Amino acid sequence: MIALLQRKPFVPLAFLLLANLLLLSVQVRNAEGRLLLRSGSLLLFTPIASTVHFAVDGVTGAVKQYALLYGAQKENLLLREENARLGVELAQLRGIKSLVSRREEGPMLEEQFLFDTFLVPVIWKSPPFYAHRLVINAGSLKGIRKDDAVITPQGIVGRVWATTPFTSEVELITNDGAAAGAMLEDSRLQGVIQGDGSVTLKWNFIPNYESVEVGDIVYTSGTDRLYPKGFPIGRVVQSRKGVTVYRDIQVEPFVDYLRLEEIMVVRGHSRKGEGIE
Amino acid sequence: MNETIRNSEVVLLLAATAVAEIVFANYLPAALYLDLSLVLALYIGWNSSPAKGAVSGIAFGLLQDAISGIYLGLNGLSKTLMGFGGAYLSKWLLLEGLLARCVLIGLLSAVDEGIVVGMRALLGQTIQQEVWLRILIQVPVTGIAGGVIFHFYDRIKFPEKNFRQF
Repeated sequence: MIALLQRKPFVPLAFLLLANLLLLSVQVRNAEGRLLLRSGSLLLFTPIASTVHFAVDGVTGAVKQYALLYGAQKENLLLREENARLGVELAQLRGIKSLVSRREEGPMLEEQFLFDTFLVPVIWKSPPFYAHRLVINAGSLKGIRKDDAVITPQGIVGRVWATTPFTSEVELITNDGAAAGAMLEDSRLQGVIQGDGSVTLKWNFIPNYESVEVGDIVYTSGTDRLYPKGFPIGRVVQSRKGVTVYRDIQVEPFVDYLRLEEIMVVRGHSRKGEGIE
Repeated sequence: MNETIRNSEVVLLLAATAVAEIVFANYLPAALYLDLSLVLALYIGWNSSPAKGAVSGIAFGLLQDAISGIYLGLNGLSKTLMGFGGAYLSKWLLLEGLLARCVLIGLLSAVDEGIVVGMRALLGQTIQQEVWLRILIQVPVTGIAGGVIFHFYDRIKFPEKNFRQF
């Protein structure tokens, strides 16, 4: 057999190329098939990623906790101040919530603006020039489902793309093909924000006659039923009349995706309308 | 050339590459300009046979696809061709010198990236302008680092061989 392969090396080459093409065609034709394959490869490689994350975190954590304590007191003071401020804000929000819940439209407003999140560490990032994705250390066993929104306090990150029992793959909003409903805070002007694989986002479907200025802040509109309404996305860095009827607008996201260490998953927001929760 | 790379060695190199690529992607993004999977697939091909080069190419390529989160098979396809082509070229070309190896690895890296970008375009994915800049950096980095990796791996594997000086 080996002698045959060495005499006719083009036979295994043709076989391997065919296998690759078949693998590609399965993923392109069938969206469900692609998810199965991605989940399979996730299952295969997450133990390696988790081990690397655990080892690096262990070493850096030990150094930070036991060796580099000179900034701890200052950090503690800042955290106490922030905690006190957040306590006051929480009390204010509770008051507002009780006022809102008494109104007729209260349940609808609660559904849009109140959601349950939990913090998850990032254990693996894709090389940014191939795909804008990352893997987090929590999966379906913690209640994460496909299309759950992923955010940070600075802004939206993306959505859950695939899950395994212990990990989930997140598609960043900057990934090619990712999108979200977006609007301006003051004018309530709405469009669709789209990633194209670069570091900025395109804001599409804003007519040329509308006014959008550089520096305007773009928020989620909630129309995609994935992301909670009113969450910051980014700042307009370019706005000019386009060659079609729509403006050419570029938005710089608030979240620095290369430096993400922890993210928050919004549990179940995307499934509220389906009665799954 | 006789097969001097054992299957167990290939599996070890695959595991080491998986760890290295995950570490690079998360903690050392600049190191991703080195296409380690291509370098090792080529090394295995050059030191064994075209068939083994192709098999190593598909294994390293699929590993890279799985870690990168892109369609499984994009790098698999390109690196199958590179592993096979590299092994085939090594039978026709004299590749003992460091410079010759660097140039050939660099050229194969350019072809490899060209195939991946071409396949992505065929699949309807957006090709950003930055891709070309990245390839411009990646080709010389992979060529030079690949030549040096070959040189030192050779020294470890074949200590009795009389190596040319840098």
